[in-house]
Amino acid sequence: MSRPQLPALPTIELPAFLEPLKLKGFPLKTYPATLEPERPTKPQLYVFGPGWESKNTSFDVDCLAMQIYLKFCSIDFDIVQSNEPYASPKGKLPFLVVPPDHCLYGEQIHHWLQKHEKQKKLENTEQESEAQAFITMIEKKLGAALLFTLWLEPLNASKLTSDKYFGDVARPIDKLLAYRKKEEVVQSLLIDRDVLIREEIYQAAAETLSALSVKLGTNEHFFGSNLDRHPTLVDAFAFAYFHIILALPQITDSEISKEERQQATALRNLLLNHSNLTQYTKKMYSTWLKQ
Amino acid sequence: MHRDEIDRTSCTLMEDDKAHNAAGVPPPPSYEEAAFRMFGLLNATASQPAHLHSLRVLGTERTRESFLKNVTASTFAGMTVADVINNVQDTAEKLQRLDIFDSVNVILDTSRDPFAARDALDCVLQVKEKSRFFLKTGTEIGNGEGNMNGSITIRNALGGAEMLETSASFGTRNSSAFQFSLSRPVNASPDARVDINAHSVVRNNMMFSSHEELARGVGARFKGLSNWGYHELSYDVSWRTIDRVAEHGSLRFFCMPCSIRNQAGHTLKSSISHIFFRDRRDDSLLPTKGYHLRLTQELAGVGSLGDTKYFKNEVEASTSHQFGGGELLHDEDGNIKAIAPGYVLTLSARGGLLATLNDKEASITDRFMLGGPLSIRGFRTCGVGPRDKKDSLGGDAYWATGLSLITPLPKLADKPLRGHLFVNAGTLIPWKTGTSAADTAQALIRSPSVATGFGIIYHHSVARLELNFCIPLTVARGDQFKRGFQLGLGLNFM
Repeated sequence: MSRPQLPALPTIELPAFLEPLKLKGFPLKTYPATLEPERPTKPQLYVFGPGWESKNTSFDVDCLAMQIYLKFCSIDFDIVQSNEPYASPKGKLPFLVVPPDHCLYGEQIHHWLQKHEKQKKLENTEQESEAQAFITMIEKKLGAALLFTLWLEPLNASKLTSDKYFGDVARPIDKLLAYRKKEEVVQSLLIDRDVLIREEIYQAAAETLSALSVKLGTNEHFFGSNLDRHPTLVDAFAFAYFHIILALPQITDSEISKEERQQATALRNLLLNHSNLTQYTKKMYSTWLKQ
Repeated sequence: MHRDEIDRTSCTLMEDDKAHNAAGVPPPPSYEEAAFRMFGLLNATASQPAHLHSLRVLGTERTRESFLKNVTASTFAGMTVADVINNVQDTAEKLQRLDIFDSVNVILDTSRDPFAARDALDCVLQVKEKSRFFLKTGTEIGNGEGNMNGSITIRNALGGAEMLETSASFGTRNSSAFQFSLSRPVNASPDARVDINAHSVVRNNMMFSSHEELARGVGARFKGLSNWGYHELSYDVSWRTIDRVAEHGSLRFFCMPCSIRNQAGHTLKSSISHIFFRDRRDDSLLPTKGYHLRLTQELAGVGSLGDTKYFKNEVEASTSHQFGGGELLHDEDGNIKAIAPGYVLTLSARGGLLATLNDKEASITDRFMLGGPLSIRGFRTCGVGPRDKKDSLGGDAYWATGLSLITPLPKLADKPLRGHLFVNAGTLIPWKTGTSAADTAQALIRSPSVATGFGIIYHHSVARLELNFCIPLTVARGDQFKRGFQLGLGLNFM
């Protein structure tokens, strides 16, 4: 049922003698502001940081992927190591702030890139959808293995990951948050599977890595044989995952059992089996992120 | 005051009654007259030796004996009739103020103990305990906020006037608040209490600062009276989370960590604070005379707990003077209906300084906010001071002052309505520990926000309601001022 059209409300003109009531002349004086807020002059990407390898990279895979992708798209931007997902409207890092003060996250960043024609696309839609499939595979299979390595391998979780993600938070809240995060990770991993089996997860990751290794071959980038081709989103994701896996420090404390240490580096060893992928990661890092 | 003496007085009274009745001459001696005679008698016997021989408290079921012994211990000190009566009265008042008895009746008598000395007295305190469980639901309005709430109180929980309170409330500013406290008197005194408490509060600051805050905490507190006034000393540990930063929440350059977005996250505060309050006003909502002073100090970062370290000081004072008034107002029939209120001039001032003790900026939850009908009229709530577009960021130092002239309204002088003329001024600035005094003073006087106006005040028994026509005179750029009508509802106006 459509609402009946209401007649427009009449605008009431204030009689001239009541005009002073509007107090247009007030305030009589305006002093300078007590604080001049500074505005960002170029886009800022809010990430987790600093990374393991260098201060400028992120240690979070999503942040790192976005960071390098913006570099691919030749965006001039600053990195803000905020480490505070609550700062984001969606409670997740990364997010991008573009002047004057628009806050973009997730798909919005891609829309923004598209609008400014900075997005790096593949040649045809067929390749696009294939690239999308690879991205999904990386996120699902390699992502699960990475989450498992970071949060559920006890050695990494207690010695590396918790401190990195929650090191800025006062004790003992950091411990509580780390515990919650771990529970969250378990729940997210259980969405796709009934039980968590280490071997199964790493097996899936190994298959993904083989597929990626074959896809890359000896090329400079995924989906591109010729040298002038630009890296694309799929490269951003692949690099981010590879880099995080490789950059994660290895714990060499001899008091810890060998088995535990092996488990902590299982994913890394899987990646090291593919020399073209490690070469690719190093090359990408030195080309795009090294300063 | 011996038994026979009292008996004799009552006899005389009765005889008088009879005499009056017999002669058919009213009136019987009034209450005032009887009281007058009683006082005369007390005066005459006041200095006679007497002592309290025994004291019994009747009617207690749950109250512990040891606790009652503690409360009544001081009763036995007196040596004269006056002492004994005063002590017994004090004790009865103490029991009443502990808020666990509905009524306390005193019976004083010569001692029935055959072995007691001649001047020995017995005291019986008849009490009726208040019901143990107390459930309350209601709606409340406070300083610029309204809520609905429910609470369960268990009085005298362990037999020593312990109070266990649990409450939940849902409101406009505090979206939800759960509180628990267990308190007990110190040394059985009604004037000093200690409590342990816990709270979980979600505060919605979207209206002026695009974020929500969740605070959870536990603490211990001592409340007591000294010769100067009321004191409250407390220790609190509080875990605050700022989240739900709205999508349009303000953004700052990252080296200026004052924006709301950069405030997001967790902070842990371990603080000890002291509040001193001295109130000599005749009415805290709309005083006509007297003054009040309130000092607050808070030191955060106690022990090695938490990441919030600062020292915060706040002072608030007001003084009121009445001119004229006091004459009786009569209605058409000549009956007295009220006392003329006269003109009242109220001067109030507030100030605060927050000094961080580490290199971190203070969190927005700890900073001061200024502006609004309760502080500087003519500005929106939190409309004065540092801000980023529509978001108030709060400041580290402020002063605010107000001068109000409250007048009777013609023909409505007997109603709780008053006319109101005011001037308010203040400023709120960001401040860093170590800034020189000269720079601070300069910053504090550089951009004062001043407003004046007039209006009417309605003085309700629970809150004060104001409708003012505000004229902002000077503002700092960015201030959210409000020309014209502004409505104020609250308890603590400036």
